[in-house]
Amino acid sequence: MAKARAIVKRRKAVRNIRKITKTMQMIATAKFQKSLKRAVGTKAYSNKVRELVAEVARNIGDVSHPLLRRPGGNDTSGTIALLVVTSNRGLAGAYNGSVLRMTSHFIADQERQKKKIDLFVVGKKGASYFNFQKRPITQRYDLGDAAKFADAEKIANVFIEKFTGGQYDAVYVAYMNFISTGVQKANVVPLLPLAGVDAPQASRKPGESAPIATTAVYEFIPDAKTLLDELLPLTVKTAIFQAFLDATTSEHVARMISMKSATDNADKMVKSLTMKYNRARQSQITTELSEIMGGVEAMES
Amino acid sequence: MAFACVVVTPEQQVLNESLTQAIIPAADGLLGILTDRAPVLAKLKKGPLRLDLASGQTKLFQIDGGVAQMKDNKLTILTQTAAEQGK
Repeated sequence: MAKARAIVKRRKAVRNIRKITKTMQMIATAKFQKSLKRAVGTKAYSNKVRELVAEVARNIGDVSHPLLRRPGGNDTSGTIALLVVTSNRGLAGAYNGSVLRMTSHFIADQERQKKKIDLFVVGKKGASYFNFQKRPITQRYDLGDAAKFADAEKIANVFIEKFTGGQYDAVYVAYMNFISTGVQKANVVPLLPLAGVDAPQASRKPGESAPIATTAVYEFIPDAKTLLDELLPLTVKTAIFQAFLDATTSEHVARMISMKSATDNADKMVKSLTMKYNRARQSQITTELSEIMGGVEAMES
Repeated sequence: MAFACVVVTPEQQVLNESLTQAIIPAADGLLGILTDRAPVLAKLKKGPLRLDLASGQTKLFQIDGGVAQMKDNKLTILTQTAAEQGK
């Protein structure tokens, strides 16, 4: 009986775990849908900001702005900033692992080029990883479950100030990019200096005729330069905010998938344990029966 | 005659309606916008945003800076926060 009972006990434990993973999966699904909605809502804003920057830049012609500064020569400080976005909680499959692996590669790469790296970390998982690696963290942020635009703005302002002040040569963000429900990709993307403002001219191949100007002639209030000063920091802020939202969405997807497979595995385990239990019970009955038969035979003789 | 208008904040799209008139708090004072206005890009300051919907309703928002773009009969207002008044 001992063996059968032990199996029953184990099966019960597995069922309990299955209940938990199933619930976590459902919660992750609900949270994912919510955060996907937010991420998509912000895409409209960031796309528009980008579009407006392009419109203004086209009208100004020669754009120069402290945020577009490309450090070189003796202008460099040799230091770059890296913002790593991880989650606060685990049980999300390879989510944090792949972001941190990507980050480590990037750091090793930059250090080979004799760059100093200032780490800015979002999320407990990233912080404990770098603590374990004994790598100093310049600043830790804790954003809770749903990042607010104000949080992104605060972080962006720090970067903007230090970048324009010449303290950093570049600012990068490492996060899990949400491409679709099926595809997420750990990415290290450059945030500063801003790219893409003067791209339209640069990307045109020689010999190709100028694209037909579809741009409207704008009236600027108060003037194009002021608008650009307003819009460029906004691009930085929205880029960071978008990174946060994408990261949260990817986290929920990762948790959803890993909890789904955990539930499936628990199902499989319950099934095989049930089979084992039945077999144990059967063999126990057989043993008991043959014992009784043996007893009867002994009495008869 | 009406024109399209969207109000977006980083967190969400606040409004997507057809308007007859909009009065926006531009950097140098209130700016009225009607259908077929010439393209304009305006910096916004903190202030009231009035939107007269094509349905005859009027909506008032309190917005906190941002940028407005009017182009091809489409008005886009980008702002950090937009709080509807009376709500």
